[in-house]
Amino acid sequence: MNSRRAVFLVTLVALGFLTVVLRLVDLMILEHDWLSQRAYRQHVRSETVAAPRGTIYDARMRELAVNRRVQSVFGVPKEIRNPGQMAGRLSRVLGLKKTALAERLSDRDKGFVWLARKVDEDTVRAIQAMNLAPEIGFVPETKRTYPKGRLASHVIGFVDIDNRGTEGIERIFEDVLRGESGRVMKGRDALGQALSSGEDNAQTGHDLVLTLDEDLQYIVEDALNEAVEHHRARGGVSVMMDPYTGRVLAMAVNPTFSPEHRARPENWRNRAVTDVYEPGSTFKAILAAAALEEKRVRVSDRFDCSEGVIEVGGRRIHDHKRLGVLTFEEVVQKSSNVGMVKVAQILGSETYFRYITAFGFGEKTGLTVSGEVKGLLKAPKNWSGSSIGAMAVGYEVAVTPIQVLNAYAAIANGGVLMRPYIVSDVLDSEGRVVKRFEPEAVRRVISERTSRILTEILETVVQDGGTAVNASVLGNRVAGKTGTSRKIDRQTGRYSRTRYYSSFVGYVPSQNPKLAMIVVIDEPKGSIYGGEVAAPVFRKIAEHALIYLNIPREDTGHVVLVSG
Amino acid sequence: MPRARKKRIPSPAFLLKPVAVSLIIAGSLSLIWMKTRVMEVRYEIAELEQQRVQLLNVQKDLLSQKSQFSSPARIAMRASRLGLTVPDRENVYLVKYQSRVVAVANHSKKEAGTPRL
Repeated sequence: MNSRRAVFLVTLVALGFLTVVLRLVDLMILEHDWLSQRAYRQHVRSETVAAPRGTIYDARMRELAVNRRVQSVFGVPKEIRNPGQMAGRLSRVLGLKKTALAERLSDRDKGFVWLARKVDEDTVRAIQAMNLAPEIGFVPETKRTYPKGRLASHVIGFVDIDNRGTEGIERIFEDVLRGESGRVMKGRDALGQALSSGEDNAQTGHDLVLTLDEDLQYIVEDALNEAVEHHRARGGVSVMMDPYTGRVLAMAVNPTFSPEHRARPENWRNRAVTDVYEPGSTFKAILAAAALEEKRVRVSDRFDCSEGVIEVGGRRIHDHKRLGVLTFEEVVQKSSNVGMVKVAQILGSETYFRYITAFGFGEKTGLTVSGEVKGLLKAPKNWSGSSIGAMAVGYEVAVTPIQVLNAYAAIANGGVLMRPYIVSDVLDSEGRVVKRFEPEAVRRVISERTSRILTEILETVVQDGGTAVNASVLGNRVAGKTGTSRKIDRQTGRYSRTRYYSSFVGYVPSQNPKLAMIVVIDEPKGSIYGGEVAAPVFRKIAEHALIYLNIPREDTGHVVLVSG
Repeated sequence: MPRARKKRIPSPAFLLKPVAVSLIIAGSLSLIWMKTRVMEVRYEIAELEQQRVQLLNVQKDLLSQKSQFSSPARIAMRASRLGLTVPDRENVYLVKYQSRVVAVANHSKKEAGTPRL
């Protein structure tokens, strides 16, 4: 009996062992691959990691566009039993309509719906306090923020909700700034607790260093906004540049916009490069440069402007008053239309056109900001009989403010047209320079001698007897030219008698210029003349900028402190 | 001479089993202990990594706030509240430091260039 019982027990144990062995064979050999994959999925969770966008800095490495970690709220409709009630609770916190939320949460086929993207910390805390997991959850995201607010918003641009560049530098340099999203493998235990946060392979976008200087940008924007407000103008543009290198130091446009709370898309345009206007008298410097370079006129040549009017191709061009007989220098100083038409007639249309194109009009400057246009410039074969007269005084040609400024920068630097640039460096995430943009000379336009003579002439514009006394800067000589041009009335197709562009473009200190600058005010009310509207803005900006840049007055120089 | 009675030394073989068992038990316990420690350390590392990420995010936020606070518009606003204004150009003198040697040399050059009566 005992032996039978023993055999039974041994058999039972043996069967037990056999079962275990068979199960082990099943688990370890037959189902090994499937089970190991399942275990891996259970213990290692793969997550997509968005690559942070590169930072945009000003020339002194001050942040103009950065990223901030935020949370986005999502819902899992198929887990939600009462969408109406859930929507009611969330609508108060998220500030969204209950019906819209309920609609989103009611689609029980969906396992994921966005409820609110990139919400602030307080909202996150409020929802977390409601303890709504797993029906409601959070996804960490990065939000592009612009710590300087509206500053340089037309240049920097902005991104959409998915951090894709939509305007400005953000759009132009999207490929550089964006970076590559990656994945991270996070180890977890059986309870889902994190064992390691893993290493992600996301590649941070490259950083950009602009040529803009935050302080100069503020000085320019502040003065421009004040002038636009003071003259009840439609808007304005002001750009500051280093004439020797083409580095854009400041670029301001009014109306402004906030890149984070943007409204009115018509205000997003960077009008310094997208909008054209007829430059009026500021264009006379181009004609003067051409005439001097071709030696068709001398500074002392005299022009009879006593009639105060001249007829060209059946069109009468007037001076604002009878100016008498003027030297060439005085023609420019007093901005005589009659005198300049006579100079253009001496020079001839072909030669004039050659210089206009050489100064970069009719082509894009190549500045890396969005929406640059090349303007409108007719070839001489398409000119009417009056075109030579109109173009002598800056009409029948449409230019951008940056083109005019760049041409004046060429006059200022000794005659070389530079390619303006606004991005100086591309840096990797470690701060190493990946690409550097260097100053680039496009072509020599006029000789140094012509540049020097023309600078002396343009200095007289800002002195007593000139049209831009209001642009003079205490302690430093300024060279420049005013412009007052009529706008086309879109309804009649004729030049308006009430709507004008007032502008001033110049450089300072004129003999060794550190800054070239243009100010264009669109439709000022009351006073309309460039010398009264734009020139004071130039002075205000120049005086502050020269102090900021530690450029001494020519009359006092530096105060020398002796040590040691 | 009577043969000295040899003292019987007990064979160490009887110790082998308990020692081996002890070693196996100790080894197993050590392995379990090490495994537990490794797990503990992994939890600690994960927590620290999480903290590091959080602190980096805080640092980014603080840098962003610092940039906001140092924006020229904000500084100008604060300055105007305090009654500060940008000085006129006539009130600004730019100062350059120069060593005595350079200053004397410059002065001598000026003197040499000045026509004497």
